[in-house]
Amino acid sequence: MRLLHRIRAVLFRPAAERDLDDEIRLHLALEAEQLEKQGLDATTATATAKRRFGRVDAIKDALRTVRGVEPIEDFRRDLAFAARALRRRLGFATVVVLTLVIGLTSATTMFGVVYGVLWAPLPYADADRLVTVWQTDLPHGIQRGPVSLPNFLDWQARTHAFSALAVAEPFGVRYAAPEGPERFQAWRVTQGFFEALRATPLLGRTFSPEEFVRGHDAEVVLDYALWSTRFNADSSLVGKTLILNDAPVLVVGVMPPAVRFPPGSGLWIPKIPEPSELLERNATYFLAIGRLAPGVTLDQARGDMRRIATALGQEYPAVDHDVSVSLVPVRDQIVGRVRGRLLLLFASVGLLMLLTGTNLTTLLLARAVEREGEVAIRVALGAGRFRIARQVLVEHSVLFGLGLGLSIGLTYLALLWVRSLGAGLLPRADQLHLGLPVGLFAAGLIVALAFIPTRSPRKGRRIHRVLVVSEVALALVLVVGAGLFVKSVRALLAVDPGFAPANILAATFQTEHLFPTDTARATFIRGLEDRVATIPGVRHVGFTSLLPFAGPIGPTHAEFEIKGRPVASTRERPSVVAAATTPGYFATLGIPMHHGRAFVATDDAQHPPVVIVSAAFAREYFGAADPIGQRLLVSFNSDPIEREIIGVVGDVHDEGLDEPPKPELYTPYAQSPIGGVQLVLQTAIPPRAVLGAVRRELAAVNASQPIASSTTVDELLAASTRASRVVLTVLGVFAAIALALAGVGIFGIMSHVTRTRTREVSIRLALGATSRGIRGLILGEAIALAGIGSGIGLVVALISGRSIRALLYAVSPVDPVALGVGITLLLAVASIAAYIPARRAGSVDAVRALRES
Amino acid sequence: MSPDDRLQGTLDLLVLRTLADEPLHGWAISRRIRERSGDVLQVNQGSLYPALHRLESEGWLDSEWTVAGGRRAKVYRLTTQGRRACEREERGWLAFVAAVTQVLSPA
Repeated sequence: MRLLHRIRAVLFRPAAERDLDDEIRLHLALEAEQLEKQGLDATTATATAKRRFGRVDAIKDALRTVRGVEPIEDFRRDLAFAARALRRRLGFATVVVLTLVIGLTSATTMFGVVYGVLWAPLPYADADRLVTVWQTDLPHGIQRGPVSLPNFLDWQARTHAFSALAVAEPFGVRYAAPEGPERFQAWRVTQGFFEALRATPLLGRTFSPEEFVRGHDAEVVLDYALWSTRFNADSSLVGKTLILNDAPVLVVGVMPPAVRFPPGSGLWIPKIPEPSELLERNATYFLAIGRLAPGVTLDQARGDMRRIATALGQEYPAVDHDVSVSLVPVRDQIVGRVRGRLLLLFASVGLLMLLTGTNLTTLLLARAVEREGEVAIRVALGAGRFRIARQVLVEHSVLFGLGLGLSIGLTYLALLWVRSLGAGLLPRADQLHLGLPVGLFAAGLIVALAFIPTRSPRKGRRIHRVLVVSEVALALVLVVGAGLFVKSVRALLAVDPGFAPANILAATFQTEHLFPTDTARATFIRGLEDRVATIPGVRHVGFTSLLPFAGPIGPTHAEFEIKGRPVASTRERPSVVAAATTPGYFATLGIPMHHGRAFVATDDAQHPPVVIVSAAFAREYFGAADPIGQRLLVSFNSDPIEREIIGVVGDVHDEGLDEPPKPELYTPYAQSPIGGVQLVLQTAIPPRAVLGAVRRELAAVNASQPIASSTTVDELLAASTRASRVVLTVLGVFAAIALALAGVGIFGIMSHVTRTRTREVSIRLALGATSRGIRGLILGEAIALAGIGSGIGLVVALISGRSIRALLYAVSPVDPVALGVGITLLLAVASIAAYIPARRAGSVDAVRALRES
Repeated sequence: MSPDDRLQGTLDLLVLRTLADEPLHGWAISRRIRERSGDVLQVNQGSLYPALHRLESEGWLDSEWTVAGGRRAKVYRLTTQGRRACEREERGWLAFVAAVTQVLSPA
C-alpha cells in the first residue's frame, strides 16, 4: 500500500502536486468564508486564513516527505547541484572527462581487439578439442609442414586418439560466370572434415558419407564471404548448380561467417584420393585437422601420433625417416602469430590506464581540497556528513557517467576502424564488435577508477610526490617501448630486399589443369610473355613460379647434390629455395647479375639443362671457388636432372625483410614449366594501369584462363612490414598520449602543491629568499621527482624489454638511444609542466599572502 | 511512547475519531474538532494535512475527490484497518488519561 502510494506519487508527480494545491486552496477558501461570516471583510479574512494555515511551502514539503518522494527529489537536487558545480568548473570537468575518455577508450578498444581475436569462442563446438596436425621434418627445418596423403591415411588407420581426422587440399576452381571466367580458392576435404570442425552450416548441409564416392562428389559447400559477395547472399542458391571447372556442381550448403578453415577458404569440395596420390608419400600438400576423442588429452594424442610416426619412419625410411608429427590446437594455429604483438599492445594500454588513474587522482584530490571550504560552510549550515558524501558521489557519478558513455561510443567507432585496419593482418578482425564482454570490461574499469581517493590525506605532500614519480615512470616505459619500435621498423625498412620493387605488377595464374603437356604450357607462357611485352608502358616482362613476399603458389624448394660431391643417400641432399623463371624475370625485378649469364630464350627443353644460383648459394656451397661451369643434380618438381651453373645472381629476401636471404636456385621456366606462375611486369606508368591490357592479351591467347589475383610488388613488400608498422603506430599514439597525460598530470600536481605551500613560500620570501630561488626550489623538486620516476621506469623498461625481444628487429631491448631519448623527453616534459607553477610561486606577494592566511 | 509520539498520536486519534462518524474533507475535519471540543482544541492546520496524508499512506484512511459547491474537495473516510486503529488508539488514550488522572488525584 505504502509502496503503491510512493510509486504513484513519483509517477504522477504533476497530478499529485495539483491535487495538493486544490486541497489547500479549498481549505483556505472555506476558512476565509467562515471568517467573513464572522464579520471580517474579504481581504482580512483571506489574510487571516492564510496566517492560520501557516507557511504553505513548508507544509507542501512536509507532505512530499510523507508521500515518500524525498530521496528522489533529493537526488534530482543533487544532480542539478552537481551540474551547476561542474558548469562553474568547466575546465576541471572537461579535463576529467577527457582523461577518462582517452584512457577508457584506448583500454576498452584494445580489450575488444584482444578479446575478439584471442579469447572469444571459436565458431566450432568444443573448439578446445580441435587440433591442426602437421608433419615435421626437423633436420630439414620444417616445424609445421603439410601432410602427405599416404602418411595421413596411415595415421588415420592406426590412431585412436581422434574421434575425427581429416585433410584438406588447396585447390583452385574456375567458375564460368556470365561476365567471364573467375577463379575461386577451394579446398577439397576428406570425409570427417566437417565432423572434426563440428561447424553447423548456415544454410543447407555438409557432405554425407556417400558423397565421398567417385561419381557422387559433384557437390560444394560455400563459405559465407564468397556466398555473400559473389552470389549476393542468395539463399535460393542452395540446391542450384554452378559450373566449376567446366562441370556442373550442386550447392549443398553455406557456412556461417566465422567458419573459415582452412584460412582463405572459399568453397569446400569432397576429396576422393587419386590412385597415384596413394603412392606419393613425399607429396606433402594437405592440411590435417583432428578432433580429440573423448577423454584423450592433447599430450596423449601427441604421444600416440609420434609413436605412429616413428613406426612409419622405419617402414618408409627413404621418405619418412626424419618425419614426425606436431599437434597444434586450432586456436593457437589461428591466432598464435599475432598473440605476442596484441598482448604487448594490451600491456601498453594497461600502463596508459594506470596513468589515467594517476591523473584522475590528481584532479579529484585538487577538487577535494577546493571543496573543503564549501563543505565547511554547508556543515555549519546543518548539512549532514552523509548528505555531503552523497553530493560528492553524485558529482563523481556525473563525471564518470559522462566519461563512460562517451568512451563506449568512441570504442564502437574504434572497433569499426580496427575491423577495416586489421583486414588481412588480424585473424578474426571482421568479428570484432562492441559486445557484452567489452561493455563489462569498460564498466569494471569505471568501478575500479571509482575507488580513487577523493579526500585529501592530511599526511603532507607525500602522496603528491608518489603521483609525480608514478606518472614519469609509467610514461617512460611506454615512450621507451615506442622508441624501440621506431628503431626496429626503421632498421627493417632500411633492409635492401635484393630487388627494385617499384612499378611492378604481379598477376597469378593457375595453369595446372589447363594444358595436356608441359610443352603446351611452356608455349602458352612464351606466347603470353611476347604479347604482354608489346603493351605500351611495359618495360620488362617475366614469369616466375615463386615471387618474393607473395607466398607460395606451387613448389618452393628443390633438392640437389653437387656433381663430383656425392652424398651418402638421397636424404642427405640439401633443400634450397627454388624458382622456375623466364629470361626476363631478373631484369623485371632488378635482381643484379653477379657472374655469368642470365637465361635466354633458347634455354628450353631442346637445349642442355642449366641453372642459376644466388650469391648466398655460391657462398654456402662453393665458398671462394667459382661455381660457374659446375654441375648440379637438381630435383625440382621432377626427377633429378643434371644442370650446369651458368650464372650467379644477387640475394633476395624471400620470406621477410627480417629473415636473412637463403641460398636459392633458379631454373629456366621452359625447362621446368610449373602450373602455378606469377606474371611480373615492370612498367613506366603506374603498374595497375596496364592490368586491363594484360587481360585483353590473355583473352586473345586463352579465353578460359582467368587471372587468379593481382597486386604490385610494392604492396607485397609493404604488407610484409605492415604488422610491425601498425604496432609502431599504435605504440606511438599510446606514447604520445602518455607524454601528454604525464605533462598535464605533473602540471596539475605541482600547481596544487605550490598553492598549498603559499604560506611557506611567503615566509621564505619574507626571510629574504628571491623569487628566482623559489622558482628553482619548486622546479628542482619536480625534476628530482622526475629523476626518481625515470629511474624506476628505466628498471621496469629493462625488465619488460626482455619479453618483447622477439618482436624487435636489429635493435636490443636495452638500446641506449631509446632509453636516453625517453628519459630526456620525460625530464623535459616534467620541467615544462612544473615551470608555470614554479614561476607562479616565485611571484607570490608575500605580505598579502601572509596577511590573508 | 515518548511525549512527542503521544501528541502526534493525539492528532491522529482526533482525526480518526472524527472520521469514524462520517467522511469529511480537511477543513471540515478541523472545524468539527474545534466545535466538538467547544473551541478548546484548535488543530494546527499546518500539521493537519501532513497527518491526513500520512494516515492515508498508512492505509488507515481512504480518499475520494468530490465536487461540493462547485469546488473540488478531497473527502477522507476511514478504512476497516483505520477503524481498528482508531479503537486501538482510543484505548491507549483512555489508559493514558487514566494514568495521568491517577497521578494528579490526591492520594
